[in-house]
Parts: sequence; C-alpha cells; structure tokens
Amino acid sequence: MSFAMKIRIVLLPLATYIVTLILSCDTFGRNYLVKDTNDDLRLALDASVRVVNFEPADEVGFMNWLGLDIYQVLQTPDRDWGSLTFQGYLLRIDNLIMRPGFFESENDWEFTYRIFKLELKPFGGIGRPRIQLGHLELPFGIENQINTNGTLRQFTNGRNLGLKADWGIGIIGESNSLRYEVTLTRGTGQEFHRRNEPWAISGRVGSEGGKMISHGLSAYTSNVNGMDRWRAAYDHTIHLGLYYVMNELSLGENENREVLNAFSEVGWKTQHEAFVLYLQAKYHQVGLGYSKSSDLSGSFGLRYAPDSNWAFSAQYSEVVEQTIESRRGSNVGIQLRYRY
Amino acid sequence: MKNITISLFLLWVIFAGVSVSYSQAYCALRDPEVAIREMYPEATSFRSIVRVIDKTTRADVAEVLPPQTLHFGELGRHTLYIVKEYDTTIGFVQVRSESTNWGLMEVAWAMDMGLRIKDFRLQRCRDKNRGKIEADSFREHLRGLNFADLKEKVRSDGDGLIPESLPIPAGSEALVKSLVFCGLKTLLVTELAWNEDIGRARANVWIKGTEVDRVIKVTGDRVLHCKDFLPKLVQNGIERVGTDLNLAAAEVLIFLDKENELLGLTLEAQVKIQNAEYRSSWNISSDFSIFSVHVDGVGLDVQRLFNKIEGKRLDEYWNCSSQIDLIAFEVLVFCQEAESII
Repeated sequence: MSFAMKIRIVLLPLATYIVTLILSCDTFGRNYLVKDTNDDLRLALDASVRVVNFEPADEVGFMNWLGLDIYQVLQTPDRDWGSLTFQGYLLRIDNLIMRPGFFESENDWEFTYRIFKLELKPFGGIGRPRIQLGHLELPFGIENQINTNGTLRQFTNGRNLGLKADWGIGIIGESNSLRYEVTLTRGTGQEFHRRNEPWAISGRVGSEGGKMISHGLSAYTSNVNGMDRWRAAYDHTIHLGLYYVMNELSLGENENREVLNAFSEVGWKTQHEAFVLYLQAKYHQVGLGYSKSSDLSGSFGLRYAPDSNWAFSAQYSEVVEQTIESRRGSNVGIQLRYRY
Repeated sequence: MKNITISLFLLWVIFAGVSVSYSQAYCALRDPEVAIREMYPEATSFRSIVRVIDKTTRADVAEVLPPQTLHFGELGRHTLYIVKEYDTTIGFVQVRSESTNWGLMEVAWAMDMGLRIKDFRLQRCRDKNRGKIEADSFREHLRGLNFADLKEKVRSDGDGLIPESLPIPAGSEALVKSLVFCGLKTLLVTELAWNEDIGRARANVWIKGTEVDRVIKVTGDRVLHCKDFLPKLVQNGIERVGTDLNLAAAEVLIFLDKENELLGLTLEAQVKIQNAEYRSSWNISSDFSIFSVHVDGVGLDVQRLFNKIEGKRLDEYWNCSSQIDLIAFEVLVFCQEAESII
C-alpha cells in the first residue's frame, strides 16, 4: 500500500472525528448535534471501512465511506408537510477489482448519493399519497423493502434492472393494507447527466411488510445504457419465529432476449435483531436453449449491531456455477460502520 | 492482512472515545400515518416533535419499571405525533418497538390528552398470534388505562403479568406481556421526554385566544427553597408544607406568549385524600385563579368538590374552611412563587 493510500485511509475517519467534535462541543455556545428545542433535524455522520479479499486475483481491496445523513421534517406550527432526506457519501476505493460501474478505476474517489429526496404531502389530510422528488430507490421486488445501501448484504436489483436508485419523481401511498409506489426516473443511476436519453419506470404493489407473510408484485421497463429491458416480478417473505425466508422471481427481456432472475434468502435473527445470519442464492439467466448464459452464486453473511452506532458485518460469496467465464469469483468482505 | 488490521484499528481508536446515543438520522420506526388515520378518524393533520431518548431517560425507566429498561437500540431520536382536528389537539401517537419471540414488534400507541391509552395498532408484528391481540375484544381491555392502571397488571417483581389481570387469548401470553411492557414504556417515555410539549398542547386547549410560545418547567424543590414560600403559608395557618400535596416532587409548567407575558400555569402533583394518593393536575389562569382541576382515579363525588373551586382566586382563600380549600391555597401560592423565580 502506498503512503498516499495510507494517508487517505487515515484522513477519512479522522475528518469525521474532527467534524463530529466541532459539532458536538459547546465551544461556540451551542451544541449543534443535541439541541434543547425540537430536535427534528436529524443528522448523523457515517463512516465505514470495508475490506474485500477477491480470491480469483488474490487481491485485497478497500472501500471507505464518509457520509452525512440528514433527515428533516418539513412542518409549519400546525402540521407536517413532508420531509427531506439527504444521504451524501464520499467514497474512496483502493485496489478494488470488483467495483460499482461509476468508478473509473480501481483506485478512485467518488461522491455518491444513496437517497436524496424531497417527500411532500400535496393532497393534505392523513394517509393520502405522497410525492417524491430526487434520487430514489426503485420500487421493485424485495430490495425496496429492506435497506441494503452501503451494506455487504445485497439483493439483485442492481444487476437485474441495471439500476438500484435513480433520479426522478415518484408517488407512494398506502390503501386498504396495500402499499404502492411508482417512479418515473432518468435512467442515469448515480449520475444526473443523461446521455442517449435513458429512462426507467418502476412500480410495486404489496401487502403490509410487518406481518408474518407478505407478498408483492413489481413491474419495470427501461432503456438504460442503450439496452431496452422489461421485468415482471413476484416476491414474498415468510417469518417463522426468529427465522425467515425471502424469495423473488422475475421474468422479462433484455433487447428481446429472455431473462430469468431468481433470488432467495433464508436467515435467522435474535429477538432484538442486533445479530442477523443469512444465506443467499442468486440465479441469473439470459436467453434460452443453446444461446443461454446463466450463473448461480451464493453468499453467507452476518451482521452484528450492538447499538445504534456500531455495525459489524461479514460476508463470503462464491459463484457456484457459470456458463461463461467471467472475472466474477469468490470473495470475502468485512465491514465496520460507525454512525454518530 | 497488515493493511486490514491497520484500517480496522484506526477506525476503532478514532471513534472509541466518542459517546453514544445520537446516531440515528432516520428513526428506524415507520411514520404511523395509516395508524393515525385509523385511530383518529376525525383527525385532519398531525405534527411531529422529535426528542432525544438518552441514557438519562433509560435510567429513569429502569428506576420506575425494574427490571425493564430501554434496549440500547431504542435510544436516539424519537418522535411524538401531536394529532389535531383542525386547530385543536385531540391526542398523541408514539411508535415504540419491543422484542418478542418473533423478533421486534412495532406498536403505534394512541394516547388521549390525559395520557390514557386510546388504542393501538401493530405496525410490525410477525407473531402468528398477532390477530388475537389485534381483535377489538382484546384492545377494549387496554383502552382508557393510564400508566398507573397498566402497571397494576404487572407482577410486583416486574417480570410478568398478574394472572387474570387481563383476559389473555390462548397461546398469546408472551405476546401480551411484550405488548403491556411496550405500552408502559411508551406512556412513561412520553411523559419523561415530551412533558413540556404535552403541557403546551394541553394548555392550548384551555388557554384561549393566544398561542403558547414558550414553556418553562419549574420543579417543586426549587420553589420549596424560595425564602418567601413557607412564611406565606404559615401566615395563613398552614404550618407543615405539603400536608396533603407532595410538593417536592411537583412540577409547574409556565406558559408564556411571544412577548413573554404569562398565559397560565399547570401544576402536577400527587395529592393525598383520605389517606389515598392520587395524581392531580391543576390549570391556573394568568390572574392566579383556578381554571380547572383533574384528580386521576377519584370518585365522581370527590371530583365534583374539586370542580366547585374552579374559578376561585388566591385572595378568596384567606380563610380556608376545608381540606380542599387548603390544598387549593397551597397550589396557588406555590404557582405564584414558581412564576416569580423564572
């Protein structure tokens, strides 16, 4: 590891520490993190270190985050009108062979948005649909129900849809125990700038996620990176005591080639859900008959979050079977996250 | 391997000294919009108020509800929803999580203006017996209960429910126990962390014409240390402070408008009537007359006696003729002293 790289790894958490100290001390006559009055501005600093050992190349890569997570309820003295969510992260990767597409090289800096949205209640009343604007998670499949941003545990939307979150508008609401969400987005993912006029429309309608069994139906169509896609999916989650199983099956086409994507996860958690163990299987197939290509991979992971500040996670992933040789292979990742 | 160790070590060393409990940007609990609509069908809007639930609140809960306490995951920023019907506050909603044999349960609790349970909704509960406690026939047994009423359902060791205290549906004993402790923590935490907000919301119901801008809380021990307080009582024949009122543990909320003009006060204290202790709440107008008095749990006949003193001013109490007159006099002098020290 070069000296410059070591400096960066030190600088990211150190910068967080200094900013945190400045905000939380009373040096300027006011503690900005803990206000005496209505504390409706929720602000957290978020730092993570991820270490990934990519076995096919026998290389160890690093991913470091330093982020600001802001949640502000928009309100007048008589009512809440909406909310603003900002999750902006400075990412640094070093020697990371398997990396998100928006990085230009294995050693790179990037500023990314996870969720950056304005949610408004333009129709008044209580329980009416809300409008969302900004960088939104696509409402499709199980991934929409569970926050996997910045975690080792990942589902399949990124690969299956070509997008996980995107810039655009959406409508979200609940009606008769059903939750629905539809988005119309730019098809650019992390980037705001458009080339070749991409677009994406996604939607999911599902039953209440807080019950023993929940179901969802999703649909998606897009033109991203010059490829026309459509998908239709069914997902469900079943809980039995502290065990659960999630399944998602989606069918569709990439440029008139049939696509089948299947995802399954079984897991176990403790009563307080501070400790979670999971086992995932992912199957992706493009085309049929002799022209088909497919791969099956599995992951085993754990997450331990003893309080709302710390989270430790680890995951081992392996490609079990693939019809076309690729650079994908087994890898081990561990991550430590601290939120203040 | 050396690089991995260095990175992890650095992160650990750098953050190890930073204190905990303010980390959540998102409250992980969902907004109870659907629950509010169902539990308050007459509501037209709501407003959220966020407070930090910290280690102090955790210690307070452990003291009042041993051996129950707040899990570290329950600390952080939490929200109380003030529910309104046009301009009038009609109740409060708070969502709390509680661990169960099926993972975390998330309950939206509706409370009336007197912090009694109005209703509840399970926003998240994966237990197969969920339907049994969601049934109206079970929810009915929790409606109208305040903290003291609900605590009576709990065994003296604080670790379970008193048999027969609630008609528990077969097979859902563990779930009902979690629900009752979740309700107790909700009522207690609401009172501890949003005390002034609730006082303000209540004050806006009885103080007409001007919106409350500031709320100042004065604790009983501060007033008792005022040099003028005891002589004033003694001059009027009251020789022992707190004969019938537990003033040391009392709290006075003082309501001011934007110009810092006094709008009114609310005093909350335990009151002893015929050797039984009750929780009393006194709303005092800006001219130090009694606007209203509510004593939790007393019979209608006793409450009527308190209702009779509504409207009386301090100067009408130079000759106290009954136990209730003495208590009222003590309350008014106490409130006057509290207002004078802010």
